[in-house]
Amino acid sequence: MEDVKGIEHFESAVHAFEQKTPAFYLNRIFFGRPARIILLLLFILAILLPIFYIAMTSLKEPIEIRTSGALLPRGQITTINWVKAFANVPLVRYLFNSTVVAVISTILVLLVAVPTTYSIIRFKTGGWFLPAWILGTYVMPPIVVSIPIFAMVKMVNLQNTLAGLILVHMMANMPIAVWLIDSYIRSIPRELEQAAWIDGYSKWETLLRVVVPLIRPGILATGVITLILSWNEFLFALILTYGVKSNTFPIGISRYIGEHGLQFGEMSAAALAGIVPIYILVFLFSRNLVEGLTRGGVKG
Amino acid sequence: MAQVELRTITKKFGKVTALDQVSFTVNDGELFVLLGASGAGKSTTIAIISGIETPDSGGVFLDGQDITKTFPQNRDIATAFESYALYPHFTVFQNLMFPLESPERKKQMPRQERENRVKEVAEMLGLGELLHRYPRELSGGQKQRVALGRTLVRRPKAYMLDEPISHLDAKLRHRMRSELKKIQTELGITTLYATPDQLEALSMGDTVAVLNKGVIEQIGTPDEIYYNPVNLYVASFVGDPPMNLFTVDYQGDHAVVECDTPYAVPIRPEDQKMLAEKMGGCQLKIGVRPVDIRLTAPEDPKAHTRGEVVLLDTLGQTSIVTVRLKSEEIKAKISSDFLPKLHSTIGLQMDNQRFYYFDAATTRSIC
Repeated sequence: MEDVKGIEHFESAVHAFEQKTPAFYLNRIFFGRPARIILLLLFILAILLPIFYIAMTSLKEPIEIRTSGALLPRGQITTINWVKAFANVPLVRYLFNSTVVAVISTILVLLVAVPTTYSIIRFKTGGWFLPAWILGTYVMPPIVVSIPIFAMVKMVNLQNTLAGLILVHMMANMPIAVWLIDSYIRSIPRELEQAAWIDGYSKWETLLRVVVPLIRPGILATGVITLILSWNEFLFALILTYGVKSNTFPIGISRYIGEHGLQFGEMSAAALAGIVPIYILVFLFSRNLVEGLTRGGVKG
Repeated sequence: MAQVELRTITKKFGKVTALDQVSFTVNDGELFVLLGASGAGKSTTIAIISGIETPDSGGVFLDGQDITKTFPQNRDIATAFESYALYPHFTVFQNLMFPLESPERKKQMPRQERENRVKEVAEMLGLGELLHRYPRELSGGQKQRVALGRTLVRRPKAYMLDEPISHLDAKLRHRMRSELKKIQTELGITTLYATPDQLEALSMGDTVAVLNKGVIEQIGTPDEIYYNPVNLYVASFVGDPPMNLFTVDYQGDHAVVECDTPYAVPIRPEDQKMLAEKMGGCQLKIGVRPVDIRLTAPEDPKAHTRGEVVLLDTLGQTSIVTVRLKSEEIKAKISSDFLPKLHSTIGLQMDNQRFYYFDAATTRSIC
C-alpha cells in the first residue's frame, strides 16, 4: 500500500511539474531538498537544545542560575559547578556502578534472550503461552511489582548490591529483547538451519554457528537498546540500592537535591558527565552495528 | 553404504496430502531416481528421509533400523537442497568445509585431509576459482554446484539429491549427469535422486520411481518404465514428446480411432490374442510413441490417416512434426533429413508392432 501511495504521489508530482501548477511550487517548497534540510536541522535543534541548556547552566555562576533562566551565561564562565559536582557526591562511583549494571545485565539479557527466542520460534517452546506471558510482563507497570521484587531480592540477600540490580534489570529487559530478536530470527530461511542439522550439527551448534552470526546486527541493536534502558532505569535502582557502593547514576543525580536545596549547577554538570559514558558505549556498538548490517545479506 | 526403506509413508500439510502411502526401497549402492512433476512430493520424500519432516504415519528405515524419529544430525544422510541453502556468512570454501567440520567428523579426519577433500570436489565441480567468494556473489548455477559439492564432500550412508543440476546450463548439465553417475558408481553410495527431467531419470537411474501427486505410480528399471508403463500417467509422463493416445473402438483385427475423422489401424495377431484374453470388453486406448509414427505421401495406401503439418520443431538431427487431423493433433518424431513442408498434407502410418494398450476407465495398462 505504501508503495502504491508513493507512486501515486510521484506521478502527481511529475504531472504538477510538467504543468507548473500551484501544486508544483508547493511540492518544491515542502518536499524540496532545502526544505528537508531545514526540517532536519529544526529537529536536531529540538533534541540538542536541552543538552545545550544543561551545558550552559553547568558553566554559570550558582548565583546567576537562581536569578536568570537565560540560555547563555551573562556573567563569568566558571568551572566551579564541575569541581563541586565531583567533590560533593561520589559521581565517579555512580557512573562506574551504572556501567557495570548496564553492561553485565545487557550481556545476560542477550545470553538468555537469543536461545529463548530461537526456541520459541523454531520449536514452539511453551506453545502460545510463553511468548504471551513474556510480553505480558512487559505490559505491566513496574511499580506494581516493585514491592514483591524488593522482597524477593532481599530473600536472596542481594539488596543494596550491584548483582541484585543486575538480575532485576535483566528480568525487566528480557521481554523487549525477546520481542526485538524475534523478527531477526524469523528473517532467516529455515532451510539454513536444516542444512546445518544434516551437515552434522546439533540444535545448539546450529544456533551458535549459523543463526547467531546471521542475526549479529539484530543482537547488537538489541544490546544497544537494553543498555540504554538499564542505564536510564530509575525505579528499581531507587528501591534496591541505598548506598554509595550500589547507587547508579540516575539515583546519584537525585543526590544533588539535598540539605542545601537544589544544586542546579552541580546537577547539570553531573548530568552531562552521565551522558558521556553511555554515548561512548552506544557509539562503539553502533560502529559494529553498521559493519554488521553491510556484511549481512541474509539470503540463501 | 546402506539400504534406505520407506514403509507406507503418509504426510499431510493441512488439507493437502503430500505423500500417500509411499513405500519403496533404495538398495545398497543403488542410484534410485524419484521422477515426478513439480508438486509431486519429491522434496517432501527427501525431507522425510533426511529427517527435516516427520511423517504422519509410516516409517523410514536405514539398514533395517527405524530412524523415523532420529534427529537429522544423527542419520548420516547428506542432502543437497533444491533451494541450495548455502550459508550466506561463509565463503564457498567454508560452505564446502562445514559438513566436515562438524564436531563428530572433525575428530575422525585431519585438517589436511579435509582440505584435500574440499579441493578435490571443488575441482570436479569447476568451483576452484570461486572458493573465496560469498554465496551472494554467485550465479544460480554456481550456487547449485556449491550445494551439490557440500553434499559430495561427505561419505555418508546415503545421498539425497533434490534436483541437484536443474539450474546448470545445458552443456554443464550434460557433463554433470555422467560425472555424478560415475562418482556414485565409484563410491557405491546409496543415492536418492529427485528430478522432474525424464532424460536424467532414464539415463542415470538404476531404478526409477514415478511419483504423481504423492502416489507412486510405478517403480522399475528405466527400460521397464519406458517400455512397460503400467498406466496412462506413466506412459504420457515418460517420453519426449509424450506418447500419442487414441481412444479406439476395438473390432478384432483392427481398431477404429474415435475422432472427428475416424480411421482404422490394424492390430497385429499377437496383440489380438493378448487383448482377447485380458481386455474383458473395456473401452480401449492405444498409445503410440512419436518415434513409432512414420510420415508418408498422402496418397500412400499404407497411410492410416492424413492431416496437415501445422508445426515443425527441428532439434538438429531429429524433428518433431505436429500434424492436425481436424481437431486432434498427432506428434511424430522423425529424422530431420525428411522434413515435410509446413501446411502440406501428409499421410501417417502407425507402427503397430509398438502399440501400448490401456483400459480407458481404469487407465491401467493391458499387456
